[in-house]
Amino acid sequence: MNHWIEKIQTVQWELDRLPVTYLQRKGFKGWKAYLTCSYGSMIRQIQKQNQALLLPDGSAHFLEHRLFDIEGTDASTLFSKLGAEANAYTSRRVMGFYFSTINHPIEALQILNDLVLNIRTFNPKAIETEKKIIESEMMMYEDDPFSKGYQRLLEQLFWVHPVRINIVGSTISIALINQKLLESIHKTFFTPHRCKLFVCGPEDPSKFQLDCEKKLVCAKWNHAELPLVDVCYLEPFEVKKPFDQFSMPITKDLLFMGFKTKKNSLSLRDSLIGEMIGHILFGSISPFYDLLYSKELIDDSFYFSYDWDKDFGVLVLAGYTPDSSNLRKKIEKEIRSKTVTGISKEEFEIIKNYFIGSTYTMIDKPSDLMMHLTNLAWFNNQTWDDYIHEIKKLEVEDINRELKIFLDLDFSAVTLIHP
Amino acid sequence: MQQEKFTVIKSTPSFQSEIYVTERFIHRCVVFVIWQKINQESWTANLISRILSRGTKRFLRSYELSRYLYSLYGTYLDGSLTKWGSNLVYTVTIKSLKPENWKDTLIPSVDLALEMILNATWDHGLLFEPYFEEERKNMLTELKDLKNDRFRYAFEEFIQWMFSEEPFGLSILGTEGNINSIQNAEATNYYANNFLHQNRMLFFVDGGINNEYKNALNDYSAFSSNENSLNEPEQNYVPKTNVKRKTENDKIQQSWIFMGYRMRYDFDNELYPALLILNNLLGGHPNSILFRKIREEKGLCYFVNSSFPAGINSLIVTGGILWKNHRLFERMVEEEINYLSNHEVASDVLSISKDLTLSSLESVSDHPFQLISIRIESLLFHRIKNIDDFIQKIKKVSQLEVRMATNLLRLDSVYILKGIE
Repeated sequence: MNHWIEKIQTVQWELDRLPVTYLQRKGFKGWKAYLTCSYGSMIRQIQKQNQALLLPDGSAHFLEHRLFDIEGTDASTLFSKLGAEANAYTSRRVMGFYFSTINHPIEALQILNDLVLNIRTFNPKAIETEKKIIESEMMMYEDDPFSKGYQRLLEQLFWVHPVRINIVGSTISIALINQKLLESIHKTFFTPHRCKLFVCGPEDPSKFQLDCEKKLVCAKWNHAELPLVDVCYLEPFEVKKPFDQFSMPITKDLLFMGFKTKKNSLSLRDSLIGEMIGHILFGSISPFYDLLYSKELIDDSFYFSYDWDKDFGVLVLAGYTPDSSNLRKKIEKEIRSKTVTGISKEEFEIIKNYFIGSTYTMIDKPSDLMMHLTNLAWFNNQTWDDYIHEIKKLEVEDINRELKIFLDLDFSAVTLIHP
Repeated sequence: MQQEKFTVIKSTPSFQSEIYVTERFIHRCVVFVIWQKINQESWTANLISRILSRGTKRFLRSYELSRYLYSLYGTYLDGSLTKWGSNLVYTVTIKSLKPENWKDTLIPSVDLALEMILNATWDHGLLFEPYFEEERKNMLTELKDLKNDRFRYAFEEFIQWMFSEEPFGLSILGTEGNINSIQNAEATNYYANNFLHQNRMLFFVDGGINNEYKNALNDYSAFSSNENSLNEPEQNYVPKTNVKRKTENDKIQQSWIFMGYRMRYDFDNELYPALLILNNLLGGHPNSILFRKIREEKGLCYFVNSSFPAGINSLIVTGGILWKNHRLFERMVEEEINYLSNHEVASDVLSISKDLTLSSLESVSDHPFQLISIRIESLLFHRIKNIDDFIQKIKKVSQLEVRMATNLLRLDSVYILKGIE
């Protein structure tokens, strides 16, 4: 597999304190760039006049929307003029801005850097208009049973950890957002050493680096050195509310089951174990999934996910079902059985192959690859090599030893949405 | 450097196989295509496609099939059914990694796909009974539960209602009565007539492949069917003068609005590139006219876009709105379209849309599946015959042509799934 690895050789340097990682993709036409900042929905406080200031829920997501307005000009317009398409996202850990383009990559990078890193002011009138847009977005999520159920499940699982906070906030919380608050947040986080840039393109790395150093203008970048508020959340393993239910206009029950990972801090290896367990026990390779499907207890909507960060992990199962009580019992029985019998070596080797294959497949999907490399970098500066190394190092015994840590019914919660 | 392009391996009136050779990608993509005209029975094709995806004679349970694919380094194999104008297109896609020895993953997965498509009947001559029964029930469930995904539900309702007199308006979900009454023998007969014998099959490959592989593909080119061509010209629809309206109440908070515009247009129309540009500048990106004016300036909604579905003479504007704003939304959309009908679009706006459209066309070569999709579209529907020529046409689109294209639009149908806010 050596020729695969050659395709992901990266070059790294710093541009006025901004860490840059470049990946050359020979023969491709397109450019992709991801600029991320270490500010996501889980950050709840900043320092202001030597005091901690509590941020309204949804501040990060709100700021992401408003950053696209550069002194009355929509940054999308500027990107579009270059034939580039840009967008942004807010996750719990980071906020990301990205573009893809065929031509003018340096010019597009300049806009991307300007919109994230330049010292900024925000228009109060536009902030009020934004509140209406975000309220409309909130309504869309409120109408979506999967979004609403997942959010409710997190609120049941966690007592204090900010993973339980809705990324978009609420109508009440975003009403508290104003110009000064956005400017303070921006000044604190949107500075080069708290951001990371990943670029992927067809050009030779040394030429690209030279172009960046010669042509990119960094004069207006925010270089404030404001302290961060370091918060440690004492989250117990026990869940806050084991069961909750509510109704929505749906045709049958929608069941969510969430399992807290019983670890105070998580590593890359832990995240892989969590995802592998999900695949082996509840994915399409599982006889148990097949059984549930053929008995019509689940349908195509059934899914699992492993959501994690440095200090939390949660394995979630969800799907529509005509008999939530029976489905829940069957899942609980399967977990009890598997935590005793364990996973077979054959099952594990299949999943290991899959993980290796799907990771390499990302090389042909620059967007997925950039996102993956970005996430790894924000997780203790891990790299692609670290990731592949961790997959290869894992053995079935590692999974079986930790099954009970990732899937303990005593540390789980259920959210039921009924018609 | 040799220019990369699709080259024909085998071509008969009923069958075409082509290959695209490149060393650029780390995986390969193979797509089998079978197509048929949409008719009242097309929901049966949906049932068949679901049954075929479940397993093969070698893999009697779905999880066994998944395990096999996972063990091939996560080879992707999927069958899907899509409405493409008045055609129903069934595609089976394989994406497999290229390890040092390419035979490791590709040939077994192509074999599997062929087994899945062409060898689905059992010794007793019928489709595998357990899958038939399970998927019949799952289709009923899908039909009953469609409303759980409000956007999809509203879109389906809108399409069936707006195109109620055309094949595109026929649902491939079927009705409860249809699904309950079908027998395995009927489904098997449909499979034989519409998947095995009645349609041309297309066979495309691209990715990191070599000449040795080309020879192997010839072996797979043996399967073909009759000489029946389905590639008939689309019928033109004459827009009605009155706008149809339908509002359906629901218990959701936000309302969904769909505005369907008809076009006096046939598929060889020289204005096709201008229509693509029009769709792009109207609602195709985050800097489009509707996005800027309705969302960013007025704050009327979070979601607004326009689309130009493949194979139908229509442009669709979609928005997620508050019910109290629906008239304003509709008026603003109409005003913008009227403006573009009577005025030439600003040159910088046109230029942006051209650049974005060109960018997306040029980036097709970075994505194996998109390369194949464009090729399928070119062979089946003749709209983009050659991507390089089409790029030249896009570059030449003028302000006047965009205005002419806008003048083809007539508001035909407005559907709202009404929320409570």
